[in-house]
Amino acid sequence: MIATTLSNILKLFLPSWNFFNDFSTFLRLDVRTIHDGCESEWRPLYSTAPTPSIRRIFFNADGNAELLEKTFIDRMAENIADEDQKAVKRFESDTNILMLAGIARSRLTTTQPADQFQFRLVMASPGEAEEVLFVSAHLPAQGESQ
Amino acid sequence: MTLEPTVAIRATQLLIGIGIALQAAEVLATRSAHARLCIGKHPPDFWAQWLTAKILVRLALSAVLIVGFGKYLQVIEPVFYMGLIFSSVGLVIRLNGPLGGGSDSMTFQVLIGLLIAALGVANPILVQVGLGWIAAQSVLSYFIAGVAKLRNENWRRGLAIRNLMRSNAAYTVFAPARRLANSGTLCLAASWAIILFEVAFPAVLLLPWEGKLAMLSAGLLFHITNAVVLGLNRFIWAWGATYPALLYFT
Repeated sequence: MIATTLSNILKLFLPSWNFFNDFSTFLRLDVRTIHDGCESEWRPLYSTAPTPSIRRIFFNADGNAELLEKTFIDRMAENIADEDQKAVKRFESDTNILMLAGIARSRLTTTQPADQFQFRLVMASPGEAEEVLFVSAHLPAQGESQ
Repeated sequence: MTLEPTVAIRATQLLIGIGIALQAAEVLATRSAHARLCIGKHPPDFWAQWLTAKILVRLALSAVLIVGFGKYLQVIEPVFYMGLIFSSVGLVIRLNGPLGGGSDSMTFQVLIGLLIAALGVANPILVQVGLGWIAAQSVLSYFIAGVAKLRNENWRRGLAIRNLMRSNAAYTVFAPARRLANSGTLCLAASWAIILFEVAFPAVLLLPWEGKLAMLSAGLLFHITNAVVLGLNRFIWAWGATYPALLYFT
């Protein structure tokens, strides 16, 4: 934890400017709700629809908050992408999973009643089959995540 | 022709001040979402209050950058930059990473450069060092990003742009841009335009005044396009704030 903090501070003072992405793989957070024992279909947590809004050139609070969450999700998934079982167990016991759950819970829509919800991390590549990296336990739909 | 150092510094202050104020307003509008990502033993409600206090301080400091220091505040100008620098470090620690990604990184470097330049009352050479720091970070950021893209086959073939435009996984794409991505030729042209612009960017330091203006205008158009297509609005101000230093440095 201290090493990560020091690394983040060092990157702030001495950036590498090598933030590079060829978008060959994407991480996606899916959610589904559980009500009276019935599970809904998995759906992406974030909208897959493009936006017609040009206003965001001036003010993009929601978009930037979403971007921060996606960056957090990418960071959390880095350690479990190689299917290391120890890394998955560590991920499950980490407080970061509570934060992931908090993100997912905050974005649950209220169109359908839900007692519980579940989320999963999926790695997708254009033209290739998706890979499920992690599936959470059933979590309460209401309440604090931390 | 060149830009006077006082004009370059004033323009940099204004542009970065607007960028910081914009980020502050956006974070305040979504502080609950940000609070959920804060690391620590306290509940999200506590972090929401902590963030609000911190961001309001940043907003106040950025307001001074925007309106200018004036005769009396100029004496303590370095204190304002140090306040913004330390609060940036605090946010990085609490959020386990930068608040706004690349735009935060460049904003931080501009603040470092302005701090160095503000110490020029002790030694005038520090004004040039500070502006030079900002110019160097700007040139490096474009060039390194361009070389990384040049070395990648997906970028050289236009596939990176196509993949980006077809998915909302990384960024929420502007609707008309998604349709344009159906053209392989357009994706290829856009890829190479970006690669060549970024790799050639260091030439801005060698070009005559008119050439600098043309190159920086292209840079501004690039960042405005990214803001429209991908929602990366903060980059306009973070990178735009480095342009006065590039105009000063020949």
